[in-house]
Amino acid sequence: MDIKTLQGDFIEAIFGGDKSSAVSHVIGDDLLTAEQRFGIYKGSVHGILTQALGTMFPVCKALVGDKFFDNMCDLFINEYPPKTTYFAEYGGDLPTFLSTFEHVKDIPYLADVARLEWTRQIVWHAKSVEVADFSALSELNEEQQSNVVFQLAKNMHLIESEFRIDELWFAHQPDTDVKLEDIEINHAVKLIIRKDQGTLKISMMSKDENDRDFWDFLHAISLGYNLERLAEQYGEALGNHLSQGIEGAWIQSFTTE
Amino acid sequence: MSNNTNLIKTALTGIMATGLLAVTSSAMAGKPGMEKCMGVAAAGKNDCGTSEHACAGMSKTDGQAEEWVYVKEGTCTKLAGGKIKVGKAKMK
Amino acid sequence: MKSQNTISTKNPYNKNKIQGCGIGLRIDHFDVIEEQKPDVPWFEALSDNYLLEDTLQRNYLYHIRNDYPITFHGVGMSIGSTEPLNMDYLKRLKKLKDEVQPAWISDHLCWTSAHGVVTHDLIPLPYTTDVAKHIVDRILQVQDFLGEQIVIENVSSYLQFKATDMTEWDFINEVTSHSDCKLLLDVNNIYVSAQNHKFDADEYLFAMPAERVAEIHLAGYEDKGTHLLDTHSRPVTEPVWDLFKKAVKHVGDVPVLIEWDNDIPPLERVLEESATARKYQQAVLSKESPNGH
Repeated sequence: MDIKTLQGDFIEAIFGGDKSSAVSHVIGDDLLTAEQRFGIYKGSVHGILTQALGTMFPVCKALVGDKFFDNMCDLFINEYPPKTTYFAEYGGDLPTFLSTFEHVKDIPYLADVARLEWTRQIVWHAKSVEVADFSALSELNEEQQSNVVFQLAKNMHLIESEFRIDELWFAHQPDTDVKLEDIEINHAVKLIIRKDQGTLKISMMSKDENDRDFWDFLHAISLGYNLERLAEQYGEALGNHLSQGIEGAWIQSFTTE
Repeated sequence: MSNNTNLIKTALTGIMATGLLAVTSSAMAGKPGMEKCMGVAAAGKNDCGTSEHACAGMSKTDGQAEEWVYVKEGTCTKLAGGKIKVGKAKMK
Repeated sequence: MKSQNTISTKNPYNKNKIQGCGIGLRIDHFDVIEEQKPDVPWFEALSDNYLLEDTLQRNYLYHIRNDYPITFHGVGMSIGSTEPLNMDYLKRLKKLKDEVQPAWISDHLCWTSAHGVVTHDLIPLPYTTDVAKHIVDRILQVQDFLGEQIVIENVSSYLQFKATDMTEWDFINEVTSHSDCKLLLDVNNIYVSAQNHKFDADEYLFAMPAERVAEIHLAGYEDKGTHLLDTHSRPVTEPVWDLFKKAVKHVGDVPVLIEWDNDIPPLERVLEESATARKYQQAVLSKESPNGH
């Protein structure tokens, strides 16, 4: 018997693959068959991971209910087995999974809520990085300047959604004054998730056109646009946006690729 | 000198001129009023909801996909009318 | 439990002395521990929860470390796996160890990950001479890397492999003696496995190398009808207390720890359980050694 094969057979079967090889390694008896004994482990692994996902995505879980969430997790776990030893790093694929999961087509905002919950996790675990010395920008030649790419602060992420996912999220928090019944779900939002001194904020950009333009500017930076491209897109507004971005510590550093 | 080069030059000069170089803390928030803060959820001791590892077993029924009924019994049923314009999301 | 809630007067020069009956450190209890500083002889921290840096959990562990002795208990070492040792995990563990200085580090005699996939569960091994050799080799590597003896725990199991050709207790003796590691004797796990596989728990227990036992674990299982499931969600059961008394007789005055991981009750309830363990332990010890300790 090769233990490496045995472990491979178990991994295969625990995550939804063919069970016959795994079961063939196990002794059955009058109390439980080999398949049932193996099933205890499959159930335990799925139970542990489902619990971890429920802690990571509590609003998604509340939206669909425990039973639906449990069943959905089984499929997710089979499709995306954990490759990490740390629970904090498991579940990032759930928004992608949900965006094509046929049983949530009637609640298309669910994938975005999952993205919001995951992003909160990412932002929470982001390490703080020293802010760059932007004065070095003036020492670059023209060509270098137009190739400058900025990086947003690590404690901040931008999310946009066709749906009012921010209110949906807040409606599920303790002591909230947002009522589910009042939410106009079909309302697009541009959100900023930011960690600030031990708290996580979810903010929506105001309706002011400049502010929404600024969000788009930050978003363009997050997509890796260089200064040349930003200038093309934002024209005269570039100066203001850039100052505001650095002043507000939204932009943290730059590279000259 | 192209128009873009001018814009970039002006923008970078603007940064220098406003004396922003001393910014060292990310605690400085954006302009007040720019964000409509929906509220602040203080992250609790459980760190934004990371599950605890344990050396305990769990049980979960090893169900068959085809037997599962996907009925949503959660809060999504409370959303106003529960009606979502599905088409809109797909058009995106 | 009045005595459990008094302000701690622990000797700061004796911070890492692990003795008596401690409990597993759980995030649910952080607040009450910080506020009340309950009289707990030591806490066992599940190291995997603290390996990411810059987290609130890690900060709380630093705080608690200032007031209590700490041991580490992990699930991610996957000592029985056939994939290479996870060096990222071990490096993080070593760094945390250097910062917190636990009295010792323990993990389980099983595998949790293989072929790049992490199950996050404790899966048993076939008990053979070859597998024992493989594990001895890995324990030696880990001990070499961490610069200390590690402590290995016997797991609960719900299945046995056809390939197994030796008893679990022989396997444990083989592994611990050849790797010269310590043993974390989980009395509840012996009972659970003995019931699930119909072997004699006493035979297993008394075959354990008493001189290697660094710690005893106790927890509560769930009776699923066809098998016992080690859920750590209940009080310790009567038959496990009985086995525990025999264990104390066998290994002597060894630190004992209560684990409670699911359906976690208030801290006082867990402390009640550790007080009970202490009571039974002392009763056995005083009987064994009339002149007292």
